[in-house]
Amino acid sequence: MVHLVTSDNVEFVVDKEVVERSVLIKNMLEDVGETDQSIPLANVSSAVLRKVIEYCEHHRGEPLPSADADQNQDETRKRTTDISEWDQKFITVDQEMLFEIILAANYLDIKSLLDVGCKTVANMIKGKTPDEIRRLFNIVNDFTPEEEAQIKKENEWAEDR
Amino acid sequence: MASTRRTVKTKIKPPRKHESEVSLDETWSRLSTNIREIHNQNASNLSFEENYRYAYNMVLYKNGGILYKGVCQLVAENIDRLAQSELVPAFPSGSSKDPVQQSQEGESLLKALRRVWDDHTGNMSKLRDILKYMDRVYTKANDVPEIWDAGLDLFLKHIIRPPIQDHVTSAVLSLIQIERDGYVISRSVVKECVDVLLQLSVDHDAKTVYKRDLEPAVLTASEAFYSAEGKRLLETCDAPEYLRRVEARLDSEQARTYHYLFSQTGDPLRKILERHLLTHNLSTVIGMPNSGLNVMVDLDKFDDLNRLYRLFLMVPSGLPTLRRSFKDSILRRGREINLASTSIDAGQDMDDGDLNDTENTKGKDKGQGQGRTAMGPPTLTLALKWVQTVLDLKDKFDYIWTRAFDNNREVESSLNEAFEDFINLNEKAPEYISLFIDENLKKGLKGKTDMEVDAVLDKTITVFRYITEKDAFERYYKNHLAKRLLLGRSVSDDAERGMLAKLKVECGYQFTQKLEGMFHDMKISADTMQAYRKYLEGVLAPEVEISVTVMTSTFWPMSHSSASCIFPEVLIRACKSFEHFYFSRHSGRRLAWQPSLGNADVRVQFKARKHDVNVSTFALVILMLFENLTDDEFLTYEELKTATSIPDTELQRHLQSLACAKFKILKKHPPGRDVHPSDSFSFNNDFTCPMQKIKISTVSAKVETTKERRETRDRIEEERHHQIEACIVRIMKDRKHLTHNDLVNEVTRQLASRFQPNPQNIKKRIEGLIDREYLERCEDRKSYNYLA
Repeated sequence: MVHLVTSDNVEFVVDKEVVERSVLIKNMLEDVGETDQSIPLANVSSAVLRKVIEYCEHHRGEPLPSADADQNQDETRKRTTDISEWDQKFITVDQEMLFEIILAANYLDIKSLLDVGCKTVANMIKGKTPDEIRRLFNIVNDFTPEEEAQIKKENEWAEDR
Repeated sequence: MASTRRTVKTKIKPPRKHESEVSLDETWSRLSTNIREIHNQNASNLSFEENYRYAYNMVLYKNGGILYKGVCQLVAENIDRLAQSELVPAFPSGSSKDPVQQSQEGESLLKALRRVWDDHTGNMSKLRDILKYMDRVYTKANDVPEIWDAGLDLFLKHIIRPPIQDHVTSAVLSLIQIERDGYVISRSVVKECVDVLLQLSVDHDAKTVYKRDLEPAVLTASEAFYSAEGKRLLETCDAPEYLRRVEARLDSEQARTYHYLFSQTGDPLRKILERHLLTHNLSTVIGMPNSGLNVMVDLDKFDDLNRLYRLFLMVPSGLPTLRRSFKDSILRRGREINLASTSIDAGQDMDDGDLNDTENTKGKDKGQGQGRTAMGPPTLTLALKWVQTVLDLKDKFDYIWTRAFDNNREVESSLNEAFEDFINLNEKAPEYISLFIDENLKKGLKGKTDMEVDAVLDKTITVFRYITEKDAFERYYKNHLAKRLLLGRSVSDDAERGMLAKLKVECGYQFTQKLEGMFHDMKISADTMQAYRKYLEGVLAPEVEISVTVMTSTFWPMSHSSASCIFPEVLIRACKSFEHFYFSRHSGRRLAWQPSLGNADVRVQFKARKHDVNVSTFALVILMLFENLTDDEFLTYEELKTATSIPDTELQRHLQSLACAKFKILKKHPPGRDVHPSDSFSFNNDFTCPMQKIKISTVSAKVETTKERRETRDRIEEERHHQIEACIVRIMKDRKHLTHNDLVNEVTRQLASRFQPNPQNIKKRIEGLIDREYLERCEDRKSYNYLA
């Protein structure tokens, strides 16, 4: 059993097999060895960690993707935007949590969770106009009108009319 | 999508910006301090996660470049520090010449290098772990090498450069040299250093620093060392010692490569040794007087020879040199053997007269004959000695071939060539071999088991194989066999047949056809004699008991001229009786009596006592003339000649055997050794001899006199002419048209199993055949047509 301590000092006790889906934690355990000391995760809050652990529990036992994934594998992975049903339900969280999950997955090096998160965001972006995207993610438009007109003209060929 | 709904419903909150709580500078300063701690071997106090987080945050906030450069800087500084503190003090002073001290200094430098390397790699491995995120995200995107590889590059840049690299290389070289001089060094130290160099490569191409720098240095040094060593060994060692040392060097270099050099260096290193120690010195070593191949063979130094073989096999020019030397060695010995037999032989030829004398004394008492003139029996013994020495030589060299040369095929062919060469140099070889077999079949094999008999015959066959003039051998063998069969001298019928079978295997059916015919005749004759004896029971038997051997004339060699003589009445009656019997059984045949080949037992009454004397038929005829004479009466040579009409040569020989040899049944007037037409003879009534039975022989196996040899030669030549002609006609009949060269080649090929035809001879035969209109010349004057 592995002890994890989040940024808000909440301790989680998790099975080694579950927690080793995170490559970072796996390496840490290998390097440091068997110890009763808990692993501090200052970058991750308890709410997020809870979600992450839930994901890992559900996917425990699945083969980890190899450390140096083939380029081909990468390509096929990136191309598909389908997410399994459980994952979809799992990732139905508010935007803030979604981003937190993505960041945590990046930090902890859990590829599959990172993929799920990023695919979700990608799906959110797909098919929207720039304005809609700005509104969704609260991005300030910093183009001048001239610039914007310029870009629109350049991208005309890509739009389906 | 669920999220879109949510944003419509609730107010948008900007996502929490993930700024680190601390600034970039602060992060970096904390991280760099920790890295320094790692370099100071204080890693155990640090938190993995903390450092990982620092690095992660730096990369996340787009400060990966600063991180990367900073880390590289720190690593470089550490390496420099290590170099200063560990390596520079360990540079060898180069002042001492004592190998032990030199080796120690070298070793300490290499140990220091290894320590630095181990430190560095330990640190890098820790850094790699905490900088994993940077490696994953930053380096790939920015096309810089991962931190581990960057560490190797830094090591390469800061350490593997002059002066450090030069010192290291020279330390390794000097250690190798010290070991080559016979001292012990610490091999593991060198191995570890070599391992370091094997892992470093410039520009990540295939060539490691080892291959680029160290290996060429090692090879150059080795080249210089071994070319000097080769010369040194040649001067100081004899051949076996040289070979032993070379072998030792090869083994030690192999061990060296195995233990601490890279395996790929093994091959070029080996080639250097082979070149300098073996290839350059091959012929010198093998030809060393007092210790080279010849001496080794003389002294049966099998281990040395085996070592020689193994080493020479390693280089391409080794085996041919060995083969040449081996062949020369055999040839030299073979020629000596030939010389030993011909030098006494030359003496023999001058003294033909004496020869006849001593031949006659061959009988039960060889000893006396040898005392008289050392010419006759030694000539036969010479022949036997020749064959035996050749067989012994073959045994010796065969053993060497098996034991020392590992049954190598090419060496075997050299051996065979050499034997063939020198055996055929001796033109009496076919005769000698036939004599050897003859001697064995008469006496030598008595008492031997079947296997031993077989072994001896097998050995003779091996020598037989080497002769090219097999037809000469056939002729001699036929003669000897005839004598053996007729005089019943053969020790074992089985052995005879065994020999015949072996010859058949070697030369084919044709060769042994006539010989088998001779055996067959003997058997038929035995049956005939049985039947004759039965027949005699029914009719009046003649006074003289005869036993007849009927020989089919084509099979038997009529080498001695079929001389005839006038038989005394008694004998004629006996002959007629047999003839009567024989013709009743077979019709259409003609019998010709051969007195030159027969012998007789006769009881002779001397004054003292009776003796049973065995004499040849001619001698019997002569003796019978003295039957009714008194002591004083004598017959002259001329009278004897007219009465018996035996030809002169035979008459003289037999008179000699009766009157001038050991048992003087007749007295010669005047006494003496040679018989002249003016002599006269009388019966020697006073003859005494301790033995009851005596044998007076004239016909015995002997080496031919020169005259006889010439005769045989001529006959052989004649037969060869016939053979060549028959062969030519056969070939032309088949091909109808051939060029001259083709024809000559074909004839040579077909007759090779019997003898080597001379192209000139073939040409003469062709011309002869053209004259007799078997062939004709074509218009182009180069080819021939067959004329039916």
